[in-house]
Amino acid sequence: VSAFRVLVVIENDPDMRRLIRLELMDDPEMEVSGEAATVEAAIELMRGAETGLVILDHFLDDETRGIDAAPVLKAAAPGARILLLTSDDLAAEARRQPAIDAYLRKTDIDKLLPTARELLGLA
Amino acid sequence: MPEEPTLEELKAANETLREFVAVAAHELRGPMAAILGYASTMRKHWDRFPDEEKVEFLGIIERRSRYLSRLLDSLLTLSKIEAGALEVRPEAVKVAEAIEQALDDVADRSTVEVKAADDLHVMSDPDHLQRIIVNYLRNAGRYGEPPIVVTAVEDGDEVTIIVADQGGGIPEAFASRLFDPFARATTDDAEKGTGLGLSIVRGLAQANDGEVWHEPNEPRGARFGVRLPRASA
Repeated sequence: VSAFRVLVVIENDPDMRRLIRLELMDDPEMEVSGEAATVEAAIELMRGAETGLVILDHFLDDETRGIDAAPVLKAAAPGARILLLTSDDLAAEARRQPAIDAYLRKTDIDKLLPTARELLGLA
Repeated sequence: MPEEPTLEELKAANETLREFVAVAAHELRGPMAAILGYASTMRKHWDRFPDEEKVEFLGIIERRSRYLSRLLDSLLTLSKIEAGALEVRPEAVKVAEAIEQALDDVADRSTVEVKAADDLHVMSDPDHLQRIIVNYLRNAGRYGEPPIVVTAVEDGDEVTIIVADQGGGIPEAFASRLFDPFARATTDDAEKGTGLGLSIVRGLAQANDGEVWHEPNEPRGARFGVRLPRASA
């Protein structure tokens, strides 16, 4: 089974990036293929790669907001599902943004793996 | 009798408070999510991680918990200042001594030069004066470059204390927000400081009939100043 490519885009919080990797590392069907602190850097990472899932934080560098950036990421990688992972309660805002496929609070990080598997059709 | 605030003023104050609470909640949630996450991951996968890695995770939990504790202390101090509930006990304070005590709390002394006349005194709550200098020194240490120079000079009925560094200085677009709560030039410095240090400095200075400001340093870096009423010894 070839591994899906999972890209982590997150505010520059290395502790959270590491935690996301730890949560996903047990799954042989997933591979965290890159990490970026900005949307621009993320798009560069996705160029030429088949990204299955983007894990996107809301408060990014350069005052970019994940919810606003989701359509740009979707346009850059139309096949990718986008999971908004944020510490703030943005459920309503995430629902209103069609480019976002799922929303999860960082405090529910133990649901990250099942949510990611579901988004990738592995559940 | 002081004038009653208008409805517009009350609405504006309410909106400011609402925004402040929202930003404060966000600042608390970030470290909280990391603490919960690492605790939960360790508990679920206890046998999977070697001891050294578990010690590292506990280090992250400890570091982020300490940050939360500092943030809560700063929030409480700021809320007291904003509510006018801060207790101010002014007395004649020897500036050179206050600077020395602040240095004991903060800095690598070898990177700091002090230029303050021995007989200079200000009328201030001594704890507040020390906190002001400590916060300025911490800022210079975090965001500036040594050598850091602290000067105190008499200025008529007042005393001016300046903390200057030789770093990259303050971006112009950010300078007007510098003393606002949670103002940070970039998200890079999140958790370097709480983002409340300078707003606390401003509040403490004002509570002691003083004022604060920032100006560029020459040839490079930033100068942070506080002016307080002069006192005789």
